[in-house]
Amino acid sequence: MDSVASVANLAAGTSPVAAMAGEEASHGLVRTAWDFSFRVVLRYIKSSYKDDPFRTFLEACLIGFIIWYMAKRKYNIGTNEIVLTEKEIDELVDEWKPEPLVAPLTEFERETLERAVLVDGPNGTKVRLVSGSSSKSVLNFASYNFLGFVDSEEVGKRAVETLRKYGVGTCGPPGFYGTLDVHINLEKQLAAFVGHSAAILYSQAFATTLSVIPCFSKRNDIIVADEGVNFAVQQAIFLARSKVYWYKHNDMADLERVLGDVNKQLSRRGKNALPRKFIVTEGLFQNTGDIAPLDELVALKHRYKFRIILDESFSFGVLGKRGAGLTDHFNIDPHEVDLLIGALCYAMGASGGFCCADKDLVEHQRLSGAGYCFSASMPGILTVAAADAIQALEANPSGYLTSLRENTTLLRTLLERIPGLQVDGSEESPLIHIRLTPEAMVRMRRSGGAWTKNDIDRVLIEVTEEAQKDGVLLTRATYVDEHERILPNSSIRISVSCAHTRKEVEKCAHAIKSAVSRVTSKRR
Amino acid sequence: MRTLVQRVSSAANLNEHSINPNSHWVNLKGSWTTNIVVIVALRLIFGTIPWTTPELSWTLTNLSYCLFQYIMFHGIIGTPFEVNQGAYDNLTLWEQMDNGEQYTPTKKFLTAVPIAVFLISTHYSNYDLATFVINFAAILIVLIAKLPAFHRVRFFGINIGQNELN
Repeated sequence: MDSVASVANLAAGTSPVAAMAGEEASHGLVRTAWDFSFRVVLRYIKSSYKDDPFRTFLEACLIGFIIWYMAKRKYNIGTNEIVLTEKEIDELVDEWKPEPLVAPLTEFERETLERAVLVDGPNGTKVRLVSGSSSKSVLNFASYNFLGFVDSEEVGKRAVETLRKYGVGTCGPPGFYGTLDVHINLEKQLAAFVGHSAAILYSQAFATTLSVIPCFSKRNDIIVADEGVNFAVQQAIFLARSKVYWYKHNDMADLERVLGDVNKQLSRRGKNALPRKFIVTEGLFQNTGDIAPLDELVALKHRYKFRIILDESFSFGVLGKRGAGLTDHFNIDPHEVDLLIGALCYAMGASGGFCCADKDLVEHQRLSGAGYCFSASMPGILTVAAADAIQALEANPSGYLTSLRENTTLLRTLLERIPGLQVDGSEESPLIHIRLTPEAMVRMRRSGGAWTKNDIDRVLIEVTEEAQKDGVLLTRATYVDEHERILPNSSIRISVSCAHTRKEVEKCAHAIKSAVSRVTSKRR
Repeated sequence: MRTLVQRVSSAANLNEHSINPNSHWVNLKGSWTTNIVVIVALRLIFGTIPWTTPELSWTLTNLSYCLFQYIMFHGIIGTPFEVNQGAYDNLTLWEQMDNGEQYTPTKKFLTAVPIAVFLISTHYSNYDLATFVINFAAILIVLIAKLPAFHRVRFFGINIGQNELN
C-alpha cells in the first residue's frame, strides 16, 4: 500500500486541474481550446463529484497515476548494464592492448609439441612412426581400437564398395535430404542389438551427448551427475542449464543421499513442482576405466523416481556377453535405461554416435536434437562400416570379446606386478589408466619443492618415450585443463585391443616395466 | 516453501534479439484496437440485457475486462512455445512482454485502458458505495500486478512455478 500512497503524493503535485488553472494562453485559438477543455473538465468533475470528496480524490489519484506512468521513460529491470561517459570510453579504448590471436606457447606446451609423434599411414594395432628420415613400426596401445575394427580388412573392402555407390558425404542434415537407406537400417540394427525400442543416429559421437542431454533436460529440470564423467557429458550438462547436483564418483551411498535431498526439497515446493529429474553417468568411465554399478542405479532410479541417462560411448561393444554394453554386462533390461547414448567411433571403428530410447523419446530428438537437426548426416561409408562391425560382433561375439578379456586380464596382471606403478579401473575394463605410485614419486623427488602437475606429466611423457624405444606406442591422457570441472590425476591411458596377440601384450607390459624402472631410477 | 512475498529467479538478460511468439502479438496495433472494440461490445451486450441498470452493466463490463486482463496478463505463466531453453517458464505474459522492459508503449496503453474504463463508468452511472468499492478493488488488483516494483514478485505463492530449489 506504500506505493499507492506515493502515487497519491505525486498526483497531488501534478494534478491536471491545477496545471490548467494556472495556464494563461495568449492566442485566441489556443485560448478557446483551453476554455473549452477547461469547461469539459469542470463539467466532468461536477457531474462525477456525487457529493463524495473522497471518491473524487481517488479518481484524481488514478488520473495522476496515468500521467505519472505515461511520463516514465522505458527501462529494463534486471540488467547490470553499466553506462559509461565518453571520457571513460576513451580511456578504456586507450588502455586496451589486443591479445595475440594465438597465445605464445608455455614451456610445457612447447616441450609437448616437440615430442609429438607423427604416424605415417593408416591407424591400426601396428602403426608406422616417422622421426626425421627414419621410420619404424610400433605396437599401438594408444587408440580406442578395442575390437580391432579400425584396421579390419573386410570392413574396409565393404566400405570401398559403398563409396562407389553413395559417394563421400550426404551433403545434408537427416531431416532434409541427408537420410540414406543405410542410416535407417543401421538405426533398426542398433535398436535390435542393444535391445531397446528405437534408436537415432548422430553423425558425431561428441555431439551426440551434447544434443541428447540438453534436448530433454531444460532450465528448472534437475540433473544428478557423477563427478567422474568425461568432458562431453560435462559440456552437455553445462549446455542443459538445468540445476546440477554432483555425487562422488561411483559412490552409490552418496548418490542416494543427493537423490533424497533433491526429493525432500521438491516436496517442500508443493504439487506444481514437477521438474524432469535425471541421473547422468557413464557406463565405462573414460577418465578412470571404472564401470558404473547399473543394478544399483536402476534400483535407486525406481526408489527415487528419476530417469537415467547413460553414456555408453566406451562400454558399447566392449562390455557384456554380446558386447551390447553395460545393460548386457549386468543383464538388465535396456528399457530400464531411459536414454542410452552410445558411440560408433571407438569400439566399432567407424564414426558417429547413437541414442537408444523409447520411440517417443527418439522421435522427439528428430525435431529437437540440435546435433541431429543442424548437422549433416553420417557419410554412407562410415554407416556401412559401423553396420558391418556390429554384424561381425553379433555373428561371433565370443571371438572378439574372449580375446579382448584375455588380453585385458593379462595386461592388468602383468602391469600390477610392476613396482612403483598404480593400475586404475575395473578388472574388465580394456581402458587402463596407469599412474606412478606416490611412494615411487617420493623416491624420485629431486631436491626441494613439491610435485606440480607439469612435473608429473613430464615424467609420464618420459615413460611413453622410453616405451616407444622398445616399440610400444603409448599416450598420456590429455585434457582441456581449464574446462574440466575436476581435473583427473595425470595418467598414461592404455587401450587394449582384441587384435593384439598374447605376445604383443606381453611385449607392451615388458616395455612399460623397463621404461618405468629406467625413468624412476634416473638421477634428478 | 510458501511465504507471503517471493521473487521468481531472474535470468537477467533474456535474449533481446529473439522474438517471443507468446508475447509478440500484444504489441500489434490490431490487438490494441481489439481491446477497445471488446470493451465497447461488452458494454453494449450487458446494456441490452433486460432490467439491467447502467450501474450493473458498467460494473459487469468493468469486472469482466479486469478479469480478462488478470487471466491474460497475470494469471497464467509460461509459454506454449519452446523459447530459449524455458527462459520464460516462470513468467506471466506481462513479464514476458517486451523482454521485461518497463514503461513501454504497450504497457502504458494496457495500464491506461482499465483506468479509463473505470473513470468513464463512474461518470455515466451513479455508483453506490458497494459497487464503487467492488469496481475500484478490481482495477486496483490489475494495476498493482502491473507495477514495475512487483516485476517477478509473487504473493501468497500464486504463480510461483517451478522455482529454483533453494
